[in-house]
Amino acid sequence: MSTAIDTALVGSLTIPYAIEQHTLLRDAMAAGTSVLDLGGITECDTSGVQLLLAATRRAQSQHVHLELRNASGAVRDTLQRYGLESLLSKAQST
Amino acid sequence: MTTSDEEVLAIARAGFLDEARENLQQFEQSLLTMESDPADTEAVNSAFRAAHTIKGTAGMFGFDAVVLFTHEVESLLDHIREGQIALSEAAMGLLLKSRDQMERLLSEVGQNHTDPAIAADSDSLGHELRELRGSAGATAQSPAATAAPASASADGVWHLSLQMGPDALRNGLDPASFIRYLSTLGEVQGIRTLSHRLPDLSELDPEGCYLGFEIRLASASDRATIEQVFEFLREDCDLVVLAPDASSEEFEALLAKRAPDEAAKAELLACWQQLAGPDAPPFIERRAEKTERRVAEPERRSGTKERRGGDETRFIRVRADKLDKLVDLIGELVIASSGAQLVATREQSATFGEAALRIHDLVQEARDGALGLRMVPIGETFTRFQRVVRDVSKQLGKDVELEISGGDTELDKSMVETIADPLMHLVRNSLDHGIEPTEERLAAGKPARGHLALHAYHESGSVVIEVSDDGKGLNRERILAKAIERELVPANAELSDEEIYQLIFKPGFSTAEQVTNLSGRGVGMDVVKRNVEALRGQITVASQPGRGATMQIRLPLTLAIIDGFLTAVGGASYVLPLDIVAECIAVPAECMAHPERVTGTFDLRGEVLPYLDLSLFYGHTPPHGSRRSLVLVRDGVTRFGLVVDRLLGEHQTVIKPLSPIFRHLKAISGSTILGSGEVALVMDVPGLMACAIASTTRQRPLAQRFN
Repeated sequence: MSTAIDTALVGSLTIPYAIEQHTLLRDAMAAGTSVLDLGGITECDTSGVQLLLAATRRAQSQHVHLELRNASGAVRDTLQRYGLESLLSKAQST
Repeated sequence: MTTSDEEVLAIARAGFLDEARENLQQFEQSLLTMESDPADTEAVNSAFRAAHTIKGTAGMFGFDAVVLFTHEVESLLDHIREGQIALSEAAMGLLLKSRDQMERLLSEVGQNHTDPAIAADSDSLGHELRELRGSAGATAQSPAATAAPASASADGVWHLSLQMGPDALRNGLDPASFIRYLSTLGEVQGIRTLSHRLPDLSELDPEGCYLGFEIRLASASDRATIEQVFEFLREDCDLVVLAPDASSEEFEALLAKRAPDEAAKAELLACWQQLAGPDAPPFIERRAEKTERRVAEPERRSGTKERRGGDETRFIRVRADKLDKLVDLIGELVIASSGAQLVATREQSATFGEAALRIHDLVQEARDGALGLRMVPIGETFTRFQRVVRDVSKQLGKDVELEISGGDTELDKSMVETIADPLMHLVRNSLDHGIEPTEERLAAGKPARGHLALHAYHESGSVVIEVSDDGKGLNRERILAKAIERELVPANAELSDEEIYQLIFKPGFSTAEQVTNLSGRGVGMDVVKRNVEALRGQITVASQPGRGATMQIRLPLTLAIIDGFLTAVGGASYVLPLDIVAECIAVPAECMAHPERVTGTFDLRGEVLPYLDLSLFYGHTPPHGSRRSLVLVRDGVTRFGLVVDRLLGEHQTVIKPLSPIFRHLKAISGSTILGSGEVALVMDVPGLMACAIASTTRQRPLAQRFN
């Protein structure tokens, strides 16, 4: 997949919305997304972190580099709490 | 969906609503405790737990409106628990408002329809909750972060290993909040998230939880305190806490438990090493080469689950109508058993009599048991008033504390429900008009804080509920003036204080304008009295000017069946509740001296008591020559005598209400069917007492008063 497919996640990345977001994310990844824009995420909890981790994994298994771009404060805070800043630093270095 | 499915669902939903209401009650209670004692961390936990349970069960049923809103409430509580948000007055107000909103949402579920206005409220309240959470989160975090390291260096470094259970998130338990909370105990030096159990994106259950966490925490706290943080998660995670001085064996065991194979072990070790950095415990350094495997320690979770299962079986939910049917049936059984006894006596068969007596005893036990099933403690109703007192006193700008005692006093469930409204009225009255504003209290030399007490206890077969305050008491003169103005009493009437106080219960007394310290808001005290009387209870008021007033409600233990004392008056049978019969004596000489008088007084061992001749009172002619008796009954503290023609002994009585045609009969409260099939009338003792006492002071003919 040579052209970067850019998908933006918006709204709440929390458990009440987990099923919706999962569906969106799964479809996006299946479509070959390589950039996830997280600027529009207002809330993020553990279910959200899991989704981001799973998306990154999926990308790795497909040998795609997934860039998590433009993470909002909510996403950044939660990832930091879990010691997962590395997911983001990848994004920043790119 | 088949009908039976629908039925099952309906029952389950009713169960959910019941449970949710209980939780809501606990939620409110905890909030009020938090408000009065902000240091009580258990109250915050308890509120959190209650909200959480509501959310969890609502989620199971798919009541999304409840889930989404409760989630916001829970999140705010979570922040409060972690000390990120101070429990300001605004926060408390918002939480209480949210509680009301939760109640509305639940009643929507109950009525099975949705109101857009309620949904809009949910949105706006939810927004407020989020805003409060957001505003405080940013400001509170930085000081915590800077404060922690100072104390950290001296403390030991604990190692925590958490493996989340699959349902943690679904149950509303986000590990992030618990980990955040950890930082109140010390410094979280490092955290690694283990995601090796995370399935592929397409197979992922987005509401499941797959993560594990390895945490290093520098803290001076002890093990119990640290484990306490994860108390809510106990069911949903596996937690291993290793002390700063943990031995190699302990790390080894943890490793064996967490990592099923060598690759995973190596990965976990690497993670630990990374986490600990140069200060890694010696074990982690040494462990690199070791390969032997150890037996994993048995799962602790299975034990706790079993315990909980035991607790749950302690209660069974039963539909109220089933219980009512049982009580009805037992009522019939009581009558039938009395009938059998009667036949036995008539047949003069000793063996039959014995058998009938045995049945009678068993029926009595069954009756007590069946009635006991309907009994619930009144405490739940009482605690509801915490909120009322808080809200109303705030509104009025008064400072009032509520004292509750005797909350475990039990009474019939239907009565508990019916009595809540009259109690509410009394409590509001006390707050509004009884307890004075602070300045007035101080001027009168009383403590600034008003005192309102709810008290319940059992007394001679009835339940007594008291609402008392230390306010200014009833204004005797104003009540009397008002009553005269309204022509409720003649202008020249000479009334005792008690009689004057009772005037406030007259219809048309308190509804018009705010005349007494007890005037109501639309509903008068007469309605309260009517409600209480509908339960075969009575209400009295005692007042000490300047010191306060006490409203006393006296209710029978149960509505359906009583132990009766059967008497004959003028050829008909009358039943008295056995509990109130103190003793039976021969008619005293004072009564004999005036056979034509309906009422009078007699001397009982030096005490002057009123009496009422029931034959004359009910319009019979007393039999001449036969030996009559006087039954001494007590009602609360007052005692008085009832002259009857004959005593027929104990009799279990199933009370049937009188048909509406007879409602105006004041001194009769119901009827019952005797074993012989005859009808007996149940005497309304408080009614009779009112006549006995009133007529000793008045000369008006009785018939006129009771027609």
